[in-house]
Amino acid sequence: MSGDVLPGGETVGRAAGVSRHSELTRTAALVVIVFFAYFVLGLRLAHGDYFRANNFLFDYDAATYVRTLCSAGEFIPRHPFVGALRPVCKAALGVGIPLPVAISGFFAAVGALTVGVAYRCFASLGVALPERLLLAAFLALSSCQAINGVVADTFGLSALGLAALYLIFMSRENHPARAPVARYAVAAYLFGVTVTNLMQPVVAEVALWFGRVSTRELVRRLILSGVVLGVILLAGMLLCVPWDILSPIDVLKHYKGDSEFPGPERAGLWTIVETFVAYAFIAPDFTMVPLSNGEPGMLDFRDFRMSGFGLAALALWVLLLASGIGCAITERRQRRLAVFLGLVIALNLVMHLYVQFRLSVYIYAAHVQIAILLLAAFALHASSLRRGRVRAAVLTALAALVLLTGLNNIPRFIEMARAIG
Amino acid sequence: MTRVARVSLKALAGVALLLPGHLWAAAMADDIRLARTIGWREVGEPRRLHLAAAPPIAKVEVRDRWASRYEERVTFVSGSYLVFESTRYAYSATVPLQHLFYQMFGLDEALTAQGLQPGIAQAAVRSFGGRATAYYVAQGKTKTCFSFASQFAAVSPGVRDRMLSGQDCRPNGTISAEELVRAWGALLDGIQIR
Repeated sequence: MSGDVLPGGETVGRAAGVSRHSELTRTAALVVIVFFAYFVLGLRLAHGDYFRANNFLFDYDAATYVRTLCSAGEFIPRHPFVGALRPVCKAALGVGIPLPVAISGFFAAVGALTVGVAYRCFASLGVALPERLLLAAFLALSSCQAINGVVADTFGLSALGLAALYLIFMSRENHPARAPVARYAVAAYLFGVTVTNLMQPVVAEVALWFGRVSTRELVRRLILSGVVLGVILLAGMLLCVPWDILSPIDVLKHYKGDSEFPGPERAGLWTIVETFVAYAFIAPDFTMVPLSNGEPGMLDFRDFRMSGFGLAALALWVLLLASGIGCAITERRQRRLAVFLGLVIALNLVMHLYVQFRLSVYIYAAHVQIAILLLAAFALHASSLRRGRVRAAVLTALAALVLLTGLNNIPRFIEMARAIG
Repeated sequence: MTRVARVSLKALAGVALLLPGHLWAAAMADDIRLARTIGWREVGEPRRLHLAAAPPIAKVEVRDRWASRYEERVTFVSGSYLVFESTRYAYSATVPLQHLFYQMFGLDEALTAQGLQPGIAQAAVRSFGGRATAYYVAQGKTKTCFSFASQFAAVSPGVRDRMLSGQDCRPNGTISAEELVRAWGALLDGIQIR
């Protein structure tokens, strides 16, 4: 096999075709492995009472989404197009697959695809093969991603759409006019699974075009894109809203109601940062949260109670993230990506100061987890360009991070799967 | 655009094509139930709660099939109830008792029906039976209600992993708020946990 080899181990030239084929095979293998891991865990969870009720874990509404995806369901204004996925579950049930298997398989597939798309993001960022495989393993083992590959809710669906958004952003970074259809498809998908996630494709457009065109042209493009997207979303709403039950006024009232988060309980900025940066990756011990009206208590990650493995993994992860942020600030080639990721993380932190319910902020980590991981990946991109001891040390630390995360998180996942029966 | 991005696009287009499928998705039997009703089974006598001076008991139920917790609910003939929970995982160390009370009763249906919505600061804290307890008593539209919540450690000092909570709503005029607190104080003082 011939061809030039970049410092990161990537090949160019004649070998590139073979390399692309190998890369596709690796991505597929990764997706299959992660799928089976999540699927087994999901089946164990389904063996108990988990899918029969809401709020057993992390304020996820498992019963609501099982019903929405697999039965007559209900329209959920915050996630308006989720019901459109119902035929997938219906088809599975139609060929005789039992409900717990169908629902576990569906979310395991979504979770595994997310890891696969994130892996391609790391490749697009220029992270070399060993590093990006380890980083994908870290993501697959991280608490938020693994749990979203197991539980039934929209957060896993959001993570998949966001990973696709970041991948498309990277493909457009130097050619922003690319992907004219994909950008709208992803934006519509993200709105459809969680309306607030529409913010991220909007920020992406601004980050891609800012400074490349005049302010006037930027505003014109944003308005035009907004109109096109508005038409797509309106068409989706026309299809998905049960207009025989809900009038347009009722739908607007739902959105108004959903935008009001009552109650004096509010998680502060530090709690949200701690949850998104630490607990979303390295699971602490579970906290039992009592609920009202006779609902059984909910298991959540709320308190800083870590095992020794968890503390060691957290130290390595914080070091990697800090290095990644440093590299992202100094990196020139992909400055737009760094700015975009920084903006979406910051805006999500601000948004979830207000958009939260009974201190359950862990669930929202899925909206920023891959963005945070991509910031960390800047450090691995930088080390991929180096040879010798520095790169060996980084690879060793990354392997240790994956190992320690697995040693800490896998027991948590097993506990979670056994907790409700 | 990379190959993977094209595949992603096709996948998303496939999702978009599923939209019309929404129209033909037929209804199926709905066996989803409220979590509050799942798993309870009636037993003859309280197992973990020892009540020294209790009013007549209507039924005792336990929920013991989940590895993460054990719950025991005593419902008295008057309709009031007492719940004991022993959990495998600690409750939050950072949540004060008044806040805990708000989590459990801030949006309680029985209290809301009486026009009562206690805020965090409205719960009083006092020791019953050596256990710090947050409680709230108030007269509603037709009933006077006493609600309480207490968390404590199985072994002191330790993390909070046991909880007692309950509620008693009586028709207005049959008992004063002070008498209700006294009656429940006596009951809670006499509770021992096995």
